[in-house]
Amino acid sequence: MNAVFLMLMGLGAMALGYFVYSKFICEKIFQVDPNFRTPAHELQDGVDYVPTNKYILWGHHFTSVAGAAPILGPAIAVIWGWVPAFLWVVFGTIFFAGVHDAGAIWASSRNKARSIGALTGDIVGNRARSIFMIVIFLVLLMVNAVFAVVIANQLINFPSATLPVWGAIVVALIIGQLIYRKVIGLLMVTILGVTALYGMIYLGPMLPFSLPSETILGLSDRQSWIVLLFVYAAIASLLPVWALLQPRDYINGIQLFIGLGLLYGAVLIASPDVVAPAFNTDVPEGTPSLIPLLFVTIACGAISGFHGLVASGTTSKQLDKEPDLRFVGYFGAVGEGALALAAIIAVSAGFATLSDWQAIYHNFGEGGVAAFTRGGANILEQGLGLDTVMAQTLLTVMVVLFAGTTMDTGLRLQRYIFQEWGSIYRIGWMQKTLPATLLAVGCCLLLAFGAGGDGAGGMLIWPLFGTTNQLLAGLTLLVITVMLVKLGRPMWYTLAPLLFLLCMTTLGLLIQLKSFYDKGDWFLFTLDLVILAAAILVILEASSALTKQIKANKAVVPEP
Amino acid sequence: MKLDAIKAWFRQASFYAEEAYNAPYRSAIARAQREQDDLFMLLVFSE
Repeated sequence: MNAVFLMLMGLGAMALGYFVYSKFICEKIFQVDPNFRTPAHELQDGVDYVPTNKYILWGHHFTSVAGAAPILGPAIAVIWGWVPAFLWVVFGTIFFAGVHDAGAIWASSRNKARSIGALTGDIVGNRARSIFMIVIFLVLLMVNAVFAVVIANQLINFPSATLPVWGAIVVALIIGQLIYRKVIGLLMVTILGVTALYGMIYLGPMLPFSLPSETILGLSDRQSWIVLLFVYAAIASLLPVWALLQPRDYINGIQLFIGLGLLYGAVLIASPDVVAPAFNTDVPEGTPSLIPLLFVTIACGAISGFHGLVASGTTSKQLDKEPDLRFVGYFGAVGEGALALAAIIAVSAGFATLSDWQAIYHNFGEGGVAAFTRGGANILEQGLGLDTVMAQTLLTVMVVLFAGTTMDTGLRLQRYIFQEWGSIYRIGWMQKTLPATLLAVGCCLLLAFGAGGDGAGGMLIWPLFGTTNQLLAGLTLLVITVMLVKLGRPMWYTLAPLLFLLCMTTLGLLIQLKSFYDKGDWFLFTLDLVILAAAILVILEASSALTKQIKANKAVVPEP
Repeated sequence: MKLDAIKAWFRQASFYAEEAYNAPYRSAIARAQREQDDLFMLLVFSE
């Protein structure tokens, strides 16, 4: 089986989903109206509510949601074979993520562009809204902790990337200053910045840098990197956004497209063969069963609640015409699926033989981003003639920049949540920026180290992150479903994915609970229990809200 | 002519680049500006 065939099948199916299924969903179910006055126009203020060109909006939505997760999830999940991961990514994108992302924009824009959290309060109830806030906090906590571990591991495995990764921050700082002070035009700055970044990627292999494995405070190199990363993320979240976050996001977006283009281009040219098994009948001992863990190992790339936050947070406030949400939301999900597909191809076709592949996938949770980096670099080398170490550097930088921008944004959002809790519960010190930031960093460090001593166990949290993320998606789908039922529209196109998600998430949580219990990992056991409680509450809220709405509909229709 | 076409393309590309750069952070920057202005007003009126 050749990877080009896989690529064409996957991209083809997702394209079909966009041209056929999304048209049906948007026109018949959501019934998007080109004459509907979107909040971007109704509440236009030149700041939050600004009608934006749909291509720009798509670009922003896509680069905000695309990150390390659609790479990490598939890179782990291929241990069950490439077919299950492939099918879940493709069908998940078409029937789950596309509908969820477009639906989140639709639901929000029909309600004055309020966020999904606020909408949950309006449409489902205040209890659901509280669950929502807790789930968001947990998602952010886990994503920050996991990504810190991922970045630390990447820097240890590929020391040629240390220079470009930290250099990228310097480049972003310089770009931020140049644009803010209007020294030179944006296009020129873009060209200079991108050149500087790839220049450093070229130089990286010549100047590799690793931390000593035992530093002054007795921390291992992984622990030191994790601490340094949180220090960086804290500072980045405190600086004014124009100084670091804004230019970082911009460069990140550009190199996402370049990276995707290079990977797919290399696959087309090299046409490597898939060596990973289609269904792995020889899974390493201790690998949990495919169902339900596949569906929570791959979240982003198949369905992710995090996208709903972005969709209703900023995207819906900038939607120009309602039909645009089909392109922005659904095609945004397709873009994410394409990234996940590229990751699957890299980890299943990037190795020379089956035994090479098995050497990497010898344990559940192994493989991961390092497999993506090595496999992807092999394909880049075969297809485009890039030097292997430089290709590894390029992919490492790509993943680290994705994870890094998620971390600094995630930390900023966590700080906001603490500040909001501080104001709701009248805790004076929590409302201040610095204490709230330190609290956020503290929680994340606790999780990063608590999950596995030297931080290596950070990957144990990944399926937990998946379940929490799916729970968030479930809440969003619930809001959309209740809205649809209220409007008398067919509900199964959102209800079926919702039920599937809740089922797999709960099963996944129960299985993980047992494995943490067996391992005696009480920290993760407790965390799992908390998420399980949230999941059960969501199920209860869902059934109550839906039955209430269906009964209300019946009451309105007069008996013949 | 050719130069005009290039200039027009350049202008369009600049527009897209600027939208791509500014759109995501417009509200965050405005909010920060508002906070700064509020703080300034507070300091001024407390005199």
